[in-house]
Amino acid sequence: MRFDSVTNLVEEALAEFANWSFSSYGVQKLNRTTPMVAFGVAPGSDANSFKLAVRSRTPFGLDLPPVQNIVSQVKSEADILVTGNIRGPRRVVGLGTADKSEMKERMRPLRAGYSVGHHRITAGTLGVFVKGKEGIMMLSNNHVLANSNTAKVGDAILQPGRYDGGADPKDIVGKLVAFKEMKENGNIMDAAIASIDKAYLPKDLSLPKIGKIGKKIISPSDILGKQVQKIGRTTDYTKGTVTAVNLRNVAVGYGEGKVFRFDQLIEVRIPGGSFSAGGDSGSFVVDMDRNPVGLLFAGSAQNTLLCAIEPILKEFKVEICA
Amino acid sequence: MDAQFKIVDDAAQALNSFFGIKDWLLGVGVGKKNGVFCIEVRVTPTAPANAVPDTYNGVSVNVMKQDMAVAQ
Repeated sequence: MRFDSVTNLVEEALAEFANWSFSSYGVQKLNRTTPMVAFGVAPGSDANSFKLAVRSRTPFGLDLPPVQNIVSQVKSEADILVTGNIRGPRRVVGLGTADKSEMKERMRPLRAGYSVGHHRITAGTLGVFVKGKEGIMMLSNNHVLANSNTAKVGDAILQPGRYDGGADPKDIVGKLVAFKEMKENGNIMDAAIASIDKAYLPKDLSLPKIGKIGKKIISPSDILGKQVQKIGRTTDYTKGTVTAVNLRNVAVGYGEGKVFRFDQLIEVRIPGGSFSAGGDSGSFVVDMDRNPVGLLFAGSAQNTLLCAIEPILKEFKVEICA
Repeated sequence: MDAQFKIVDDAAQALNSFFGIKDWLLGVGVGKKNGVFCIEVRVTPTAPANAVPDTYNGVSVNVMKQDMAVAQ
């Protein structure tokens, strides 16, 4: 697009955002935890072309109707980033079109590590395949497969997630089977499972770029101070160090002012870097011997948080397909 | 579970109860410093000075300031 076309779009986007009724979306007033979205001009494919820059503090900001309206108008001409909470200089990682991880692509049959999501969310990561009395299913987060408590059992799951081009109905690969409801306090997991349509059942159960999953579930006390690895939709393959376990009373923001507190979490850090970013939620984290450790679900500029895997398997009465 | 880990985990739980819910508190858990288990405390940059003790129930406390995590 030309520069003046983009600046006109920015004006249009800001006007629409300013006039939009937040209360109709369950947001009573803007406050520090409301997802804030900014618009501007980003470089295009050459020196004379430009894109609409959309910057959101959380993935949830991208779900707001005025943002969806403007992005659907410009489609691939939008340069979209989820920035997290910005406090001075820091790394910014993309959720949408800005970076090109292959894990955002359509994958049939399904494989772990790729983009997935409830049909109303942006995108997350298919963590791992699990086996229960309903057969082989996919495991990811509640906020990826069950839209943070708001979905209904039987809702459609898309691969890739909607934000990576997944469309309803052509990319429906399964249905929500169960999720653990998150409450204000005392949560120990952000997790959900979904069925897989027969045609898309996995043929390869390994984790891309990592390999066959081990059978020994690693306890939090045994993993403290050791390296772990994951494959995820946004930051692809990363390694980090477990810096704290059994974390209690951890506040995690879920957009629109919602905050849930968690216990029994595992913290992962990379000095000067990020183990994960928006869209990596649901990634299955294993130790360097590929044994199960946890399910990635949240993070800040400084750390990444995992739910321990054992309580999740018990909750859903499933075992990991390895 | 390692006996030393259990002692530190119990101390972390007690410190967490002592804090209760604070808007500056982002979590209390168990870490390892120089090969020894310690209590790890995560707080926002707005946490009051001296809000977190250097030791609790005889266990050393490591505190880090950071942003609140968001679901990714």
